[in-house]
Order: sequence, then structure tokens, then C-alpha cells
Amino acid sequence: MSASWATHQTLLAAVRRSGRARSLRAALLVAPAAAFLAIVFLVPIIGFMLRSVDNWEVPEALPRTSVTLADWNREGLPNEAAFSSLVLDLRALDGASAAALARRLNYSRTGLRTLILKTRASADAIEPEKARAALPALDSQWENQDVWGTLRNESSALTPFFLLAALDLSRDAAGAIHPSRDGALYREVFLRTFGISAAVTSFCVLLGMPLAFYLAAAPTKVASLVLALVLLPFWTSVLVRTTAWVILLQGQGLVNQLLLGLGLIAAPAKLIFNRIGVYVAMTHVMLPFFVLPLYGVMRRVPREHLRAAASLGAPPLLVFRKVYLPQILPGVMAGALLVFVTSLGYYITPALVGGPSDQMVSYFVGFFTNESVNWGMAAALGSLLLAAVVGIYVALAGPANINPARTV
Amino acid sequence: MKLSAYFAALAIAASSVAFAQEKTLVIAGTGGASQDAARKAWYEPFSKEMGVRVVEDEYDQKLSQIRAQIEANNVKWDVATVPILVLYAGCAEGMFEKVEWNKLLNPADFGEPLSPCGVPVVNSSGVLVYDADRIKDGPKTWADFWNVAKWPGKRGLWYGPQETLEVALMADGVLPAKVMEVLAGPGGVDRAFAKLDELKPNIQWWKSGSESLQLLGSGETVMSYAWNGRVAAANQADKKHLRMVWDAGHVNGSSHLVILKGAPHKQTAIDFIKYAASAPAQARYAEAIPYGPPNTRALDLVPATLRDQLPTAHLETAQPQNTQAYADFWTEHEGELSERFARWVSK
Repeated sequence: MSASWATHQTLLAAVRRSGRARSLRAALLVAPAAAFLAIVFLVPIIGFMLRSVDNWEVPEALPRTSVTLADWNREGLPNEAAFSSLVLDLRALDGASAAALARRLNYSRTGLRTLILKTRASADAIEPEKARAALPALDSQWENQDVWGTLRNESSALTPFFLLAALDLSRDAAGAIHPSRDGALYREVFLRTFGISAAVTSFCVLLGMPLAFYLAAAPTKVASLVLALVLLPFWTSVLVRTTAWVILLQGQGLVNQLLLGLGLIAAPAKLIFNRIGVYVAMTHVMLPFFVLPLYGVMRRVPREHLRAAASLGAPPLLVFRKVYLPQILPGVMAGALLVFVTSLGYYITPALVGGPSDQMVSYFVGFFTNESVNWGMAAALGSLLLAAVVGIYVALAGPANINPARTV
Repeated sequence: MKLSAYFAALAIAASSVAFAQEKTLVIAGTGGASQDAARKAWYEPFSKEMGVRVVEDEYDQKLSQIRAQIEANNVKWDVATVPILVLYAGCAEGMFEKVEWNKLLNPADFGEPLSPCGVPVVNSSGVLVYDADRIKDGPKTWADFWNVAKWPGKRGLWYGPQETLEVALMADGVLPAKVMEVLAGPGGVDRAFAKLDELKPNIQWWKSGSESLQLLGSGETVMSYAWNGRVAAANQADKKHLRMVWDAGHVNGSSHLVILKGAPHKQTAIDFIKYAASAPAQARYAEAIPYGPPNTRALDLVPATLRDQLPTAHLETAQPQNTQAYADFWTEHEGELSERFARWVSK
């Protein structure tokens, strides 16, 4: 008895050792890819998330003012020391730093750009001790509590300004957070983005499930041909595909001409530059992303289960509901999640085929990056989108037991 | 064996020395028809005459790419073509090399002193355009553009507040030369947005020059605000009869050539800019694409028939962008007005 127990223990130890060796080999094989992902993926993402709170322009340009304002209790106007340190700081600035400071403060409060540049131009002529009287004489805005409040809010190295603005919130001079006076813009944009993505995902599920089922059930030759047709859009540039939809759906386009010719409509229908165009074009682009994982899962469902259920007397609908659907559900959820997350970030398709009320978050990220060069705002919108996606994944993937690896 | 290796090494060394001696210049242009014209009028003649290898690049005319290169200390471009607001913003933040252009060129030719940051080389306008093949009795003013009863159909406008607010004020009866004054004054922006509200259901927004022409061509828009060089190119290439209504008022501005700070070939860049700003080169450019030459001497070298198509022949009805007032207003309010426009347009 003890001899077999000892043999059992040695065997167990040997199995564990070889298991560890196998895990170590697997880890070493994955290590280069993990390092590549960490450098190329994680570092830039963390970089831009930091950019959304980065406020280097103000503390660097106004070091003394930032320090004196930190002691201000936000009531009335700051003390004389704040005025003098502002004059001293502005005197020390060179042209390029002053322009950067002016641009940055103008984001928080329009009008500060002109004020800062104007004050700097006269700063050499103002004596710091007399600044408390001289600055308001130069421009009455220096007696405005809101102006000093904004300077106080923006004088730390990290700022919540961009993140708040991306949620349509702002901080007043007293430091309290409340909805922005201009009204809601980005909240609507976020809701619109999630709404469009959810709709596109639903269309992909409705169209993709029958297609994937056909692919899984058809004989190999036909299935390969249909698979090649499904994959063909991947080999065409997404820009070309999107522009093709413009030509098809426009007022004088092929679809309208067909409908007019068949007598189904009396005047050209508005199919492009509105929500319909966005749904059609995005579903077209996203469909292969849904069909391919689902096809992989459907192919592995054993036909015998379905035949066995039928032979036990189940009608086709019951077979589908109780036997087939539970087995393909992970694939459906994984494909739907993939389509949803990709749609959230889609930029070029809604920009080309959508109307002005169809622009999604990524359009604004692109606008702030390229046209307005307000990278803080672009980073804030991007970070919030990333946080929302991670939140959705954590909320859904856990309970629904989605594991994308299971589709392989 | 050793001898052939020696000769091979010598040949390589000689060719690399020759290569190093050849001067290079990297220019970032606007792309499309404008860049083709620039190549014909400036890059190729300059390359031949001065023995310089000109490498072209194109970009979207926004400050972000220039800023990214300078911040990363990896400046690839020597010269870039920039619109007026990018010149203003980049100059203020020290992104362009400062050169005494008023000494190297004659400021009287350009009508005003030259900025140290860049030289104007292309003058273009955004103008009211309609297809004369589709409309026989066309609009004559911007108020006509707003008249949906007489000319039903969509109108094309630029998807952004810049240039669109100016057009709205012109439609509301403001003289082109006074538009900036009214816009920057009290209630000016509200007035422009109120006027746009009237036309809003009939506006088809466009986001790129080619899109504006494509919408006109396919009939999605019956009339549009578009940039004049593109209209002329469409008339020539697609044999269309698009008519530009200069007298209604047009938004006129210049593109400048600038040298990026830290450019690898600064002296060659200065030589190129002097060349491109000279009267013969400017006249060649205007002949290749009808964008007006800022160098007034070049107008004399341009054939009389072409002169009428250039924006510089219609400056009386221009709403000028090359003013300090314009640059100040838009640099200050661009962020705020873009957000207001985004809110307004999606309602």
C-alpha cells in the first residue's frame, strides 16, 4: 500500500514539474508579444490618458502666481501679492510661452487670450508693487472674480478641466462643479454614439446569424465560395467602400433610380447624409466582423445533438431554442461585442455618409486633434470612451461568460 | 580581386560624395490640383534652375502636424504652405523661422509689409457657385442664396463656423468689407446664427473641397459656397459650366510659405521662397490654376483673359481674411464658436 502511495506521490510530483516546465515555456513564448503589446499599446494609451489631465502650460508660465493663488480663499479678489506675482511672471515670459499660455487659458474662458497677451505687452511698464491698481486700470477684467477664479482653477499641474468639459460640466470661480452654461453637447454625443453602435450591432446580429448558419451548413465548396465573398470587403479600403455607398444612395444614385423606375416612390428618397446612410454603411462594414467568429462557433456544434433532439420528438423551434442557441450563444455575444466596440470608435463612415446630427465621439476627437489642436480635450473624450468601453466589457462579459477565446 | 574591391569602394565613395553635394528641399503642400499647379510653376523650374532635389509631401493644412514635428524634435519639412490662421498661430508660438522678408523681397509688390514668419504666395476665395447648365437665371447675391422659394433645393456650405458665419452676415445685408467689424461687434455672432437658422433645413454641409464640387456635380446641391480654384478645375476637367458670382461678395485669403523652426535646409528654403514669390513664378502659378498672385507685379505677366477669373481682380467685393482683425477674432473664438456650431448644427 505505502509503495503504491509513494509511487503515486512521485508520479504526481513529476506531473507537476513537467506542468511547470510547460507553463514556463508557454510564458517565454508569449513574452515577446506581451512586451510588444505593452510598449506599442499600453504606453501610448497611458500617455494620452495623462494628456487629458496634463496642464503643463500654466504652472510653467506662471510659477509665482500659481503659488500665491493657492492661498486665496476664492472670495472677493486675491491679495496684492497675486497681482504683483502675475506682473513678474508675465515679464519673464518669452513670446512662444506667452502664446501657449494664452491659448491654454482661452480654452477655459474665452477672452483670456487677448487679456493675457495685452497685459504681457504692458507688463514691463507696470511696477509690481503698484500692480493691484495698475492691472484693473489696464483692463477692467482684472477686477472680475471669475477671471481670477479661472486662473486659480487652472494653476495646478493636473487639471480636471478637460474631463469635466467632455461631460458638459464646468467649475465656477468658487470651485464648485455644475453643468456647463452652454448646454449639453458631449453627453448627447456619447449617447448618440452608444445608440448608433447598439443599432448597428442589432442589424449585424439579424443579418449575420442566418448568413453564418448558411455558411456552417452548406457543402464545403459552396461554403468556401461564400466565405470568400464575405471576406472580400476586408481587402477593399474602408474609405472606398464608404464612398461607394455615397454614389449608390445619393439623390440621383442607383438605388433611388431603381425605386423611381419601379414606381415605388414618386420623388428621390433621402437615403444618404442622414441616419439611414450611417446604419447601412456601418452594417456593411461591420458584418464580416460578426459573421466570422459566429461561423467558427457554429461549425463546431455537433449535428448529432440536433438530430438526437429531433428524434426524441422536439419540434424545430424547440431544437433551436434549447439545443442550438445555448451552444452558439458565446459566439453571438463575442461577435456582438466585437462589432459594438469597433462601431464606438468609427470615424470615417459617419463623417462621410452621415448628417450633422450623426457625428459620433471620434469625429470630435479628430476635430480637437487636427483642427483645434486642443489635445487635452481630444484626450479627455478618448479617455472617457475607453473608460465606458472597459466598463461595458466588465459589466457584460462577466455575467454572460463571454470569453472570446472560446470561439476559436 | 583586391583591385576590383578597391575600385568598387572608390565608386561608392564618389557617388556618396556626389549625393551629399546635391541640395535637397522638402516641401509640404496642400495636395490636389493646387499642388499639381505648384509643381508645374515652382518645384520643377526651381529644381532645374538651382540643381536642387525637391521632395514633395502633402498635409491637411492644420497646425497639428507641424506642432507634432517640432515638439518631437524631428522636423522633416523645410517649407510648408499654410493658411492665414495657421500662420498667425504658429508664428505667435515660435514654430516658424523668422526671416527679414521685407529686406529680401519688395513689400510694395505685395501691397503691405511682410510678416517675418512667411510670405503670401497664393490668394484664393470662397465664392457663390451655381451650375449654369441647371439654372438659367442664377442668383446674384447671397440673399438670393437664401431664397429657397425662387430656387428650391439644397445649398452647400462649409461644415464649420469659419467662412460660414461671414457668408451669413453677407446674406443679411452686411457689406463684405465690413463683415469682420460686425461679426466681432456686439451681437454679431448671434445675428449670423439667426440668419443661418432661416436656411438650416436646406443646407447640405460639406467637409472637403472635392466634396463641395461633387455635391454640385451630382445635383445634391443647386448652389454652393466653394473655393474658386476647384471650380475652375472642375470647369476645365469635367467640361462643366459652373458660374462664380464674384459680385455677391467672396471670402478672400492668402496661403503663405513658411520655414519650420529647425528645418534641415534653411538656406535652400529661403532661396525657394524668394523664387516662388517672384513675379514670373507667380504668373506661371496663376496660369496653371486661377488662384490670384499676391505679387501684384505678376498680374501684368498674366494674359488679360485670365485676369478676370482671378480673385485679385474682384477685391472690391472681397471679405478679406488677411487682416489683423480677422486673425485676432478667429484665434480667440475658434474653440468656443466651433462648439457652439456643433451644438447648433445637430439640433
